[in-house]
Amino acid sequence: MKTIRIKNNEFILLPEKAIYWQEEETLLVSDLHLGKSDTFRHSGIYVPTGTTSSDLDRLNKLINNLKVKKIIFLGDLLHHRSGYNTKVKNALKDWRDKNNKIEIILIRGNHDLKAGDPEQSLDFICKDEPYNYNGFEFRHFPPKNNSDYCFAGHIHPSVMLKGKGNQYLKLPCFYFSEKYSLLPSFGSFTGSSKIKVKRGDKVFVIADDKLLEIKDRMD
Amino acid sequence: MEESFISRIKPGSVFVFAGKLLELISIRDMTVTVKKATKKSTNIPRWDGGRMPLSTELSKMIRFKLEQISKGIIESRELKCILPIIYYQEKFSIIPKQSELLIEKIKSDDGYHIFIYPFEGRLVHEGLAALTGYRISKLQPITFTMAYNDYGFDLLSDKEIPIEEAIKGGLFSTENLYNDIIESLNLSEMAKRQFREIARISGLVFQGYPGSKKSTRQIQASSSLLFDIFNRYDPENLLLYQARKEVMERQLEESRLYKSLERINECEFRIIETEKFTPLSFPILADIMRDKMSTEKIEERIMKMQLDLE
Repeated sequence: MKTIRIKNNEFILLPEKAIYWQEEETLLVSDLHLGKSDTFRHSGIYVPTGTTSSDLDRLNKLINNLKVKKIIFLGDLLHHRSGYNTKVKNALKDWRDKNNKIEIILIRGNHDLKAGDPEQSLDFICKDEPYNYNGFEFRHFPPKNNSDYCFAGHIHPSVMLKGKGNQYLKLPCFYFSEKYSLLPSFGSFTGSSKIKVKRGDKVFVIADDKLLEIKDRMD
Repeated sequence: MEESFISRIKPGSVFVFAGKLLELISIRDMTVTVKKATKKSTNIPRWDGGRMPLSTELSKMIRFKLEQISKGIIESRELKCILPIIYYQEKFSIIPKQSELLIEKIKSDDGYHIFIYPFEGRLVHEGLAALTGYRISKLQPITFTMAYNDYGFDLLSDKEIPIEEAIKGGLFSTENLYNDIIESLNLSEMAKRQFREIARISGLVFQGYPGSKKSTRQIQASSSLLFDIFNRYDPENLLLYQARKEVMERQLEESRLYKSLERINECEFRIIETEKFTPLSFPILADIMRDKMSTEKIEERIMKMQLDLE
């Protein structure tokens, strides 16, 4: 298990693409893009269904294995208004009913702003960024000038690994710089984009449901 | 020569054609008039025909010409032009006869190369690279990248490739061919590449309506992400089937893979270890289009890799 210590708090990185904040019993999750396949279908483009329900199932498994008091969604929970149909609404409601004791914060991302907040009955506390809590900052977009250490999403970060024999692997990752961290996108129907990594940054890639730290071995 | 190339050249400009430096004088009625140039130039014409695979007859002819070269029979002017190249090929390696299959082993900074030259054309080599790569990877976990042209193909790995062992184990055997091709297809990313075309034609990759200002960002996804999603959530989908079918057809029917293997099996294998890239291997090495294939555990591969810091 990979744990990162920041300001005397322990953050456990989960290969399921989420972070568990031990002291606060809080789960950090980013970029689910629920209803993305429904958005495509709404526009007449066929894609398989099943991504939304399987993502909620994965989230449930995580919650069942950990003690979760609170979840902070770092934005882009819903993909688009046109994909937030009855089926997706019901799936989200079922999920909420199963986890009705948990406090849920949603920091609105660019997709959420267009899709709108989930129904009030679902009891998601929706906030515009930044959300500051117990000495840490939470955002959807990566911060520009933050005083508290920040966790953000939006980027869907990945890195390109290079090996001998002309081998390349592009893998989603957790990224930690001195001032902020980027979470990989949780949704299974999401792509990723390559990020720039500086010396001294920490990168953990996710490969086949395993988490591996990439050591800086360039020199 | 191709119009698209020559139409971009201005009279007085110099380009290389058939190994000669030529200066353009005029283009009229589909005729290009040139004279021998005195200036130097790096303009080299390239045509789509160069990407078209050799036919059976032409590849046979190339093997015949090579045999003549290897015997020292150099009659045509064209062959005389390439004498310096032939010299280097023979210096570092050999020129294969029709009854021989040349295999070059080269270790470079990139890793371990195996170049194999059946001279059967691009399509056959694409299939052969995937097939032989797959058969070798059954012997031990290994990761390859593969490149090919009309003359041959290159298997490149970070580990030494057990080629002699693989040949003994029936590397070019026609047994189990169909199944091995299907397996190699699954392992390589050939179907994924083919799916790009299929995703575009079937409208999965939506570019937006011309002139429309309405944002369509929410319905855009790359064909490779779609390919993964289809494979996981709808593996029986007909579009995936179509991608695999198109690769299979290209491999088996158009490519005459079976006949090529039969011919290869009658050849004497000449395995040459060389320290320098040979004239035959260099164009394949320089090809940036590479297929991938791996039977190694992803963790093991990652452990050997490093971050591309910018």
